[in-house]
Amino acid sequence: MNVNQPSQSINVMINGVAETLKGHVIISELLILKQLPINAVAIVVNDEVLPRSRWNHVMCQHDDSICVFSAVAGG
Amino acid sequence: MNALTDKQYIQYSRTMLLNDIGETGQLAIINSQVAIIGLGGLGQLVVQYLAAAGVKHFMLVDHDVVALDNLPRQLLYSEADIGQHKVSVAKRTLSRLYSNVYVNAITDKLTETNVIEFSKRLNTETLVFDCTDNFVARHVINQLCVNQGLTLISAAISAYQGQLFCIDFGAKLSHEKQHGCYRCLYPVDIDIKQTCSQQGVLGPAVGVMASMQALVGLQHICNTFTQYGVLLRFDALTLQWHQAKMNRDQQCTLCQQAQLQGYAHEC
Repeated sequence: MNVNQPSQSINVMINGVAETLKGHVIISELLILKQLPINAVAIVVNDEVLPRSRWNHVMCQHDDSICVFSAVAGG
Repeated sequence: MNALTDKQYIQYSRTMLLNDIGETGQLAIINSQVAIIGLGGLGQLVVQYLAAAGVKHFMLVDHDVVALDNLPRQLLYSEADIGQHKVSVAKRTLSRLYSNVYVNAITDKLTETNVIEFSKRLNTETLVFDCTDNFVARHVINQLCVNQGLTLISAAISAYQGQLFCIDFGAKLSHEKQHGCYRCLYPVDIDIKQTCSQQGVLGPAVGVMASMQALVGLQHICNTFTQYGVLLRFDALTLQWHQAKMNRDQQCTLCQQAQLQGYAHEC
């Protein structure tokens, strides 16, 4: 998880499912690509929470494991 | 209390058999002070486990009353309690079941406007359990704990998704080891729809999260807990747990403010 340039095609895991991404995809773009609601989710990349303020700055890397999940408030 | 009675030696013997807890840990449990905010599915079980383990000083906060649809997962209450404040029922039941339990039952709703007044009722050693059922309250509690340097044990569940974390906001950590807060994880403008009342929930799934909250709490009190700043997510359908380090959002104004206050205190 860094801002280095990735190769043209990379393999990542998104919520446990293998996916291939083409081009340089930043996290916020990934959410749009996957039609996920940007204002309703949190993201973990490689077992670390990625705060929302970083989503426009972090590029998906080969072998990244990305988990997207909803906030839960019930009790 | 600085020594156990003969009865307490017998009563808490299974806990004290754990090498890393022993009599010292049991005394820490008995002398601890706990605030549980929300006495619904999570809080009603957390308070029972803690009281049974020996915790004597509770502040219980909930403005809600017992309702019929609470009963499948809120085992502290019965049909006879319907319409009564949950904290009042909890206080009555705990006082009957456990000796020398002191319960401060508060039926006010904790809000942004009364949080400062509320914080005066807590001391720096109070362990705070967030067992509420809504996002607004969770942010208020987070703010309270960050500003007061308290330890927060937060759990939530809706449908089959549970989440849990413990953060000691009073711990002095180096910059790179500092954990994020609830706001770093979920900014205040997040669009949230997952509550039990909207999505449903199974009683035992709530119980898993509440049991974990109580377990984490006892470990924190006994100084055996190590997983601070780790978000645990539980899938009650596949029974899988996932862990993630809670990183601080460098743009979180709440954390920035607390850090500045910390520097000011050090100076």
